[in-house]
Amino acid sequence: MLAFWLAGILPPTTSWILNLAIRGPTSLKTSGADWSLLLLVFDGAVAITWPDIICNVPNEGVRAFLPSLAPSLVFVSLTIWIVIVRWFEPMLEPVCDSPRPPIRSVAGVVLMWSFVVLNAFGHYFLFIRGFHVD
Amino acid sequence: MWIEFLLNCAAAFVFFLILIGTTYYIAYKNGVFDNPEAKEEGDVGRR
Repeated sequence: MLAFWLAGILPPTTSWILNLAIRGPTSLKTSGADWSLLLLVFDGAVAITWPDIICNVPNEGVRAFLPSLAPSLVFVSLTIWIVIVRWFEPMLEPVCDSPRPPIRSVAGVVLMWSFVVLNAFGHYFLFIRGFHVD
Repeated sequence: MWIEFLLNCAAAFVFFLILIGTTYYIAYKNGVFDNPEAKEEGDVGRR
C-alpha cells in the first residue's frame, strides 16, 4: 500500500521541488494551470482510446471501471483547470497599493497547487494500480 | 479499491497542503511576495 502511495506522491512532489529549485522564488508566483491542462490532454487521449488501452490493463478493478473512469478524469481535470483559471489565477496579480498581498491570496495559491499535484497524484496512483495485480 | 483510492487521495492532499503551505508561509514571511514600489509609497505616506 505504501508503495502505491509513494508512487503517486514522489513524481509530483519532486517535480514541484525541482521547479522551485531551478526557478527560485519566481516559481512561487506562477500558476498550476498548465500542469492541469497537460493532465486534461492526457485524459482526453485516454477517453478517446480506452477500448485499446483496456486490453493492456491487467488489474481487474481498474479495467472494469476504465470506461467510466476515463470521462470522469476528463471532468475532474477540466473542473480543476477552469477553477484555477477563473478564481485562483487572479489572486496571483499583485495589488499595487498594498506592500504585501493579503494572506488569503497566498492561501489560495497554496490550495491551487495542492489540487494540481493531487490531480497528478491520482493519475500516477491509478496508473501504477492498473498495472499491478494482487 | 475505490475507497482505498479516495483515502490515499485524502492523505496525499494533507501531505501536499503541509508541504506547499509551509514553503509558501516561509516565502511570505521572508518577503518574497512583497511589492517594493508600494512599500516605498507607503513609507512616504506614513512620514
